[in-house]
Amino acid sequence: MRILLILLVLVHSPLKADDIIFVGLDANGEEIQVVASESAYQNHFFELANNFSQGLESLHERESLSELDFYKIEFGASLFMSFGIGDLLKFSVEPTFRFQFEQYK
Amino acid sequence: MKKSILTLFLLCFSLNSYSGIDPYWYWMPEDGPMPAMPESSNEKLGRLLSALDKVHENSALKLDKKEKRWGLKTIRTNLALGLSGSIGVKTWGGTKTLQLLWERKPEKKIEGEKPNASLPTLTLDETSDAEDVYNQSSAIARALTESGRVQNYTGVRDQLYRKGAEILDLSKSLSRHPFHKFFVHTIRTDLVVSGSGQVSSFLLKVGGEIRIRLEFVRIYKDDDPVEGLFDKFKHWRISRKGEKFDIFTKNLLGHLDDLEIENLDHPSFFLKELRFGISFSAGGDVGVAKLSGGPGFFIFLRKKKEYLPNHGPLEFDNEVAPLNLLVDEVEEKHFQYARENNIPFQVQGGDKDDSLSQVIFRLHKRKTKKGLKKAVKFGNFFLGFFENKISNIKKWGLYQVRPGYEFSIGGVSGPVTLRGRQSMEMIFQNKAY
Repeated sequence: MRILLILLVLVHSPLKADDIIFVGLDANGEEIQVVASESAYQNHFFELANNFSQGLESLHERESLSELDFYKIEFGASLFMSFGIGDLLKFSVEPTFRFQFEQYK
Repeated sequence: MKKSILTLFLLCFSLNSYSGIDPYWYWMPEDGPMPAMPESSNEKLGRLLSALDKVHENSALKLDKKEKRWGLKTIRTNLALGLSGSIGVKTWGGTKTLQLLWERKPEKKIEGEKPNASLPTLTLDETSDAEDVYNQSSAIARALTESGRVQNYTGVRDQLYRKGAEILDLSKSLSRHPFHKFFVHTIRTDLVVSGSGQVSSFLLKVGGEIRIRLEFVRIYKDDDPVEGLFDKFKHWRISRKGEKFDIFTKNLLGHLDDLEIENLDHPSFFLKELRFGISFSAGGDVGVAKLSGGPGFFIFLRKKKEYLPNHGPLEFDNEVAPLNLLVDEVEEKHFQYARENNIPFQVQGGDKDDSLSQVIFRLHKRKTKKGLKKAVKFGNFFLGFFENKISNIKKWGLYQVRPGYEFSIGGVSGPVTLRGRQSMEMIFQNKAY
């Protein structure tokens, strides 16, 4: 109990420098906000970008892309992230991005 | 007991996240009295943008390896502004407020336009005529048919031709008037083609569609002399729709001439373009679109490098006609606001209670001018957060910042919120690119 109260005081401090805010509307049109630490977001974001990057390299090895002579490819992507403790209260966010890859000369 | 404390703990975790902007920016006069100032500070917004900047740069640099064939060129992220002023990375539904484009810095600055190759495009310019539109429409329709993605070659060709001819018709009116600070550079509409060959607006939801972009792009440079250009197109005849578009653009440019755009030149960024979402109403009037289905097309305005020199009294200098704002899903309080403030409006396409009806509000010049000034201020407000960071970035940087705006019945009131409809976008570009 004491630990929880201490945590409560600690957490209820101003927004930390490394917080990333997510904003959206739920199915009823109500606004929802979720916060993730910069490092958690960084890991997820890099993993997503890296998957696309590796996918492109691997496709190229099979020559399916080189045959088509693409020089630029754009991906629209969404990242599903879930935050919270246990099953009691969970927040999930799904921000969308666009990644554009270009072939090196 | 333990469960309730844990819930409280998580609730605090969530509430503590607030990062917002002053309601001054997004308050709409017709929505009621000015809300109270939130307790957040703009410093938090600066931290958010800084953190995103760091994440994107770190990710891009980690991927930037010489042994790879493919390199990450651009990352585009959307931010959203909530109804209480909270701002963050956009997720779930709603409208984006700010688009941020991070890009690898070029080894040397690229002169001229960067090609936009993300969609198959039917491109027209001032040398184009009906035959060019037909030839390009045929080529696109043939390519789609041969790829097996579309069955109806003739249907696609004819519909693309009709849309292309309409864009060309609208473009003809653009060169008939001298502009002081801005000129229309591009008219764009995005279309979708279904498997059966049906062509419709890009913004309607269609599954498994093919997207095609129709663009009219002016080929002259913005510092070319103006006089000759007007003479060149004087003989052109335009349709009734083109005439309506002509009046609208004249009014819009007349409003923009009052903008103090000199303030938008930042040490690291410059205003590259202004984008307006436009639609024709059921009655054939053209206006800035605030519609649930989105605008029919976009016009892109660019700043002239040199303002028009003494050209004599321009016909829109002193008497600018009201700017049309085309809205659907209007609430009763908005009609009431318009009546109380003597803002003329006209319901088209049915009774005002009819959900399919559209209302044209004739925006006062004074209020629109005030609103546009506020939009300029908001652009400056946001760019201020990036200025200090740009110079430190060696390989990756913020290439473009694109704040989106919503028009209100009382003029442009500021950035578009999650529940709002974007009608205008400012495109700021980093001078290093």
